[in-house]
Amino acid sequence: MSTPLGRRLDRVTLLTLGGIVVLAAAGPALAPHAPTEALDPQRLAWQPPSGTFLFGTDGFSRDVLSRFLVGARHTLGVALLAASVALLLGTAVGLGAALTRGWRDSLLMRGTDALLAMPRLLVLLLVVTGTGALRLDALALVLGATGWMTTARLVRQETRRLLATDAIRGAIVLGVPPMRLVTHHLLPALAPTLAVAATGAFASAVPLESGLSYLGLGVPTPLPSWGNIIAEAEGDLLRRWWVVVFPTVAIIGTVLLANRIADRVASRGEAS
Amino acid sequence: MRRALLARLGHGAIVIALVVSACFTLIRLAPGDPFFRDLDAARLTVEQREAQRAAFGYDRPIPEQFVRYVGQVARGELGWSHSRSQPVAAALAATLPATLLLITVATLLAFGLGISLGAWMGWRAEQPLARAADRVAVLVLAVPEYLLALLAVMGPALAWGLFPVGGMRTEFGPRGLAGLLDVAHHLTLPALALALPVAAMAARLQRAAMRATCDLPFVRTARAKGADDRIARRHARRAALVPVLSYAGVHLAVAVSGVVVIERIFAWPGMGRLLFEGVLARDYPLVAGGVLVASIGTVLGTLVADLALRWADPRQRELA
Repeated sequence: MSTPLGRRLDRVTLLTLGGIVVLAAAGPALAPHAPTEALDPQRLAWQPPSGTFLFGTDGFSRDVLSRFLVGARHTLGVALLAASVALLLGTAVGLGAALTRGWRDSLLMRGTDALLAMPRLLVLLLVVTGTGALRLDALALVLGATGWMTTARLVRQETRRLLATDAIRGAIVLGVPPMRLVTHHLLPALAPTLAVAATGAFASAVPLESGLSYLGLGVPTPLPSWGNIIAEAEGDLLRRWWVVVFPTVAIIGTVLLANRIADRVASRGEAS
Repeated sequence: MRRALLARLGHGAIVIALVVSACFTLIRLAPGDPFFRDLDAARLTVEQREAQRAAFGYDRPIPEQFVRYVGQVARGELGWSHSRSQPVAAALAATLPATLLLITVATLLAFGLGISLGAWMGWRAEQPLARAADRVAVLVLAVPEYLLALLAVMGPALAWGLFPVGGMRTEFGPRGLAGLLDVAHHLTLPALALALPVAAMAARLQRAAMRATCDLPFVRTARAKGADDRIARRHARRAALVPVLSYAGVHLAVAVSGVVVIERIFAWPGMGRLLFEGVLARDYPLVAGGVLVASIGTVLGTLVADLALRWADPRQRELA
């Protein structure tokens, strides 16, 4: 517990994290064009990167750099909201199962197993086609609602372990009321686990959003997202590489970063 | 041992029961019904629409529909696929072999590759090559699956012409042994695209477990008894299988998700493609049947993984 988290993250991680936060915060302000503006469909479609268009243009002659910058906010925002929903649901279920034991615990965990056994993408497809294209916030909610199960299992396991420790048992013996036990004793001790679960949920939501967008069922089309931009290449990755490369690198970078932070947090938890 | 097995079977049954309810809930929660395209046409009267809906039981109260649904599923009847005009069970059965082939080959490939690579990476964790392999695995895990598949289509298939772009066999192609080779040729890229992320995950798990196991007393004892490097490694490898095997059970659900994308990209005539088409046509009975079959497969897979776990780690036998 002695080293603060900041010192355990190396410079590359911090720089990437900073870059991504700046992208999400200032993206629209930095964009040279409106992300949905077709500049000149006759002459400027599928322009490779050049001085005027740093990232080139897509089939509608829209500036890929602008779409990339604005898309960052959509992709990261959806993933962040989805991770928060997953964290909230997963923590509630996991804590509930660990604290109740008996048949309620069994039911909650078998339910979690059942949802875990259902292919997530199919469930998402079923929901999304039932409702038609989802608004961004609804998409994030659905992603979160289908992604909390791993968190629930992690939280339950860790809570079980904590309940057997002297500190928590002492608190129980001293008569700390249940709600206070959760908010003042269990949740702080769960923090590293929750951080790992949240970054994991975030890391799985980013490629999932892009995959859904590729299938045409993610972020609704005129709005840019990293997955959406890749889908614009219509599968022709090699000849229209500039449409694909930048969002792909951004997606991979984001996921790598999230996984790395999770790793660091996890090793910090172990050291304590 | 037998009691633990029965308990696991009971768990599996409960999970499947919950999956059936979840499938039903999802179908009923989704707005619209399978007839929205044909029956909401302006030329039809309200009575005609209602009659058609009634014929398929969509007008009954929800609890009654649920009981009927459960009864049907228990008899193996998964309903009528509106988009394909055939029973759901028949549609699924027709495409299941192709998908099973793809998933089985990909799974064997993924865990064979992942476990052996991971064991080597963990045993030789200090070597630069092993470290580089770990970096590659981390990278592969961060690439969205559909991009891997698209890259495979674009590079080896389209640009270099080494592999067919899609499908499962050449039309009017050879039969017999040559036909099998033809299928294998078609299978290579989709199976690899499906297997790579799983292999990377398995390799990382196996690596971490291997490193932890190398220092355990029983490996040290083996060494003290004079076991050479190869034998000591074999001791460690079996015990280090535990995390990978628990992952193997869960992996099936993930694999089915992947199959939907991979089959679409490679035009593989399997269940994933069928279900994706079903989703687009709002063919709820078809999709729900597919989710059900996939989930049951996953539950069975978890069960097998659990048994394998007991074999790999004797301590697990006393827990349960």
